[in-house]
Amino acid sequence: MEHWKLQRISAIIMIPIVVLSLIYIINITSISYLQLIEDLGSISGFLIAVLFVGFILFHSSMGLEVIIEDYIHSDNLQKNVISLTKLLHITSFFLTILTLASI
Amino acid sequence: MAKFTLPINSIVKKGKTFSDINKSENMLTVEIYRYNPDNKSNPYTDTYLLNKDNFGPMALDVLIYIKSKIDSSLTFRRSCREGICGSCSMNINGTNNLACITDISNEKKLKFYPLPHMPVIKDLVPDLNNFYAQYKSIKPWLITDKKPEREHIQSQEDRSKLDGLFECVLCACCSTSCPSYWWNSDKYLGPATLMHAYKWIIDSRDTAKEERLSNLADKFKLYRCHTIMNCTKTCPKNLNPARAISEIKKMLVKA
Repeated sequence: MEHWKLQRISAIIMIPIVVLSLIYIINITSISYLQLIEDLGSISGFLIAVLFVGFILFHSSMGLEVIIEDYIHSDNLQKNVISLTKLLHITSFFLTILTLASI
Repeated sequence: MAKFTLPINSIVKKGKTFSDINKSENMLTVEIYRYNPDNKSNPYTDTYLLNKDNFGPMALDVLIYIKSKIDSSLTFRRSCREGICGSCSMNINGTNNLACITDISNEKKLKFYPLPHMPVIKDLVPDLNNFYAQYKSIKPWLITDKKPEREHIQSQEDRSKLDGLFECVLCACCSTSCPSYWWNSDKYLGPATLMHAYKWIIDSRDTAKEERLSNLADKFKLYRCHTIMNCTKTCPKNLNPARAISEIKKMLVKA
């Protein structure tokens, strides 16, 4: 039940973050490279980018877990593949933070 | 492990063709899945070329005609002939339905297959033991600590809440149309059973709501429903099992 609830909560939270990010991405051609670096380097830009990627990865990890449970019926293999996808998502998240922090 | 290949005996071969037609304009071509485990051979489809003037307007009339006039070995379940017993559920032209209430008067071709993704006992008869065991697991009977002198009284308003739920005849059309049920029928209860569970949960005479809800709060029993809604689309009684399942989920959020 918690899994189902968290999946819905993360989807709802993503709505404003994705909308904000999409508006920014659509207008990216009108922004200079230096302005873009400045935006992502600011605290608010950094936080929005981290939240954007964080919630997408969190939601994606939960979705993949459900798909794996659906289609892989061997208990051991299922647990291992779920652990692997979680590890990949966590790694991706920390790599994103490192990349953004280095701007 | 996920299976990416079909078992060898699941490959359906071409069977015989039977005809009882003499250049009639009212011709119906019927293809029927045939399988007899005693023969230890692959399933096959027999084709029947029939004159529609010889039988009634429902799909079940076609099957009864073939069984009584052409091939007595054809096996299928049927009983009430009016959509009440749920016995004649099968896949007709790609959709699960009750043969007795499927109008074929405008059809030129018919394909009869057993309910999808179920073990086949013979021809159009699937093995529903697991389906019934799952139904039994939700305790489909009134649980109450009240002992009235006569019947359990229910207001008209409370009774009306059961409309659209009690009409389910457990034909299994919905459950066997659900991909989640195909992949995990050993653990996921399926739309029919869950709709009956919901019916007992909201029945004002029943006092085991918490127990019933906690029994369903499982990532496989209930949450394998991914709102695909094949169940609602296919239900021969026009019921809405998907809504019942989402209502259970909402109740669990509030619980």
